[in-house]
Amino acid sequence: MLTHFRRLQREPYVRWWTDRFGTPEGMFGDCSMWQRGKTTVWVAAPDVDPVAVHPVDGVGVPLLRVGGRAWKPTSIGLMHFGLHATRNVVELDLDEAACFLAGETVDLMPEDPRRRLPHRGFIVARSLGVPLGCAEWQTGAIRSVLPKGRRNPAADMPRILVA
Amino acid sequence: MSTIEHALSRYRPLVDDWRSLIEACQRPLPLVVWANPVRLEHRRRLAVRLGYDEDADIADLLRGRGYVAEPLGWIADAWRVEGLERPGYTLENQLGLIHVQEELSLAPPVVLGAQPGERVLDMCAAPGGKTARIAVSMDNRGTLIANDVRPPRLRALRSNCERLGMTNVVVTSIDGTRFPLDAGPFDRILLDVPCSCEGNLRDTPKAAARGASRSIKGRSGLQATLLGRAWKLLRAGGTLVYSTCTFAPEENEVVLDYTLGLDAVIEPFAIPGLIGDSGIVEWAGRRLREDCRNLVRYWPHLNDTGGFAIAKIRKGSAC
Repeated sequence: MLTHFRRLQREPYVRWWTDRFGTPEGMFGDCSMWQRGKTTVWVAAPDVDPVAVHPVDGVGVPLLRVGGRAWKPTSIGLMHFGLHATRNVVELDLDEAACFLAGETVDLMPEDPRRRLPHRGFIVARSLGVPLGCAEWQTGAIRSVLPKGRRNPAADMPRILVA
Repeated sequence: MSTIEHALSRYRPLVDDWRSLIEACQRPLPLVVWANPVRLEHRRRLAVRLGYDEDADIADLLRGRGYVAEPLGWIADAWRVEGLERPGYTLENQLGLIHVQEELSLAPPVVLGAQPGERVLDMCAAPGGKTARIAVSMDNRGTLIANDVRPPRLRALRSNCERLGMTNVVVTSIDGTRFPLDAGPFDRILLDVPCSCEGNLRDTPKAAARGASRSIKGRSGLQATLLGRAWKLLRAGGTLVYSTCTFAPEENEVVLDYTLGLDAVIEPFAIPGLIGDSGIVEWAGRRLREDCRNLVRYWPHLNDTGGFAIAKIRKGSAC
């Protein structure tokens, strides 16, 4: 049976996100956070009111999976709140970004300075400064963990202007 | 007589320029994309990193790779794009910077006019393009309940709303004819009912022509039931927009005439830059309520689009 969404105290989730990605204080503004069951935290407008409707399939956008031992940011959550990440973020060139979007793993050469990512775990994959989604950082490799339904096997990438 | 001409022949008395309509229906439908203001900061950063000015718009980015993008005359930040065969594969679409939508599907949210902080229901919302436009007009504030009962379409609805970052959207999958009354009252309701989709003739000509001829009458009952339920969910003084992507009076004026009572007023409206035809007050020998003439029917040849019909209905106090 479906359970209702309940409004959460935001503090632990905002703190986790801010610590993990070095995003600015106050980035979440006055957003509300919601949960159904124990797995996913959703982020929504401050004044959204799903309470009188039942059953509800989603409130705002999914932000974090908190059901496992390690919390995992959602790709949608990172697309929305990963623009200003300063930690645990990797910048991909356009070819690497296309691989990432197709769901493939991007291997980094031994001398690649991007191998100096401090922590294993879930990171923001960005290209041209904009977040593409969630990746899992394993030593030397960036594994795409985009949901299958959001993968793009033949991404049409923008072109960089030639001066 | 072509398949399309045959399928539309019953509307010949309603159309001034029949030849233009048939010719328009035989041309492919222009592709339209709109820029998502929720991702404005993303777009600016992307533009700068690509070597454009910060204020470069989506059309500049698309033109940069050879596509032709012309702004729509009647709505801001939306373009007709030529040469883009797989818009869903673009990075801009994947990251929610743009959404691809039939041009006239942008119109019902304009007529609805939802405001930030309101409580709004999109009763048959999938696949979510109109929902997203309503969320944009609400500045992502308030509560927008996006409902659809069909599971595959519900997935598309959720996927689109999440990709576009619509944080004021609550997705539900409830049979609209039994939508719980205690979820209301709503300030505004968009009822974009399931219909025979004649307006999609330019997109899928044969399928639409076959489907339309079979399913017009079968849809009216469901449409009337949905409208009756939506009416109960609307607050006094609230606005309901009833829309279909079909021409059939049986799915438009006749449904309004059959369902609406004395507490309803179908109000006149016009969208500057879009040409529409007035609704009709008589069909198949039946006299309809006078304000049915305020429904607006957008034939494909009038604006070089698909087809649509929209009615804006205000709820007064019961008398």
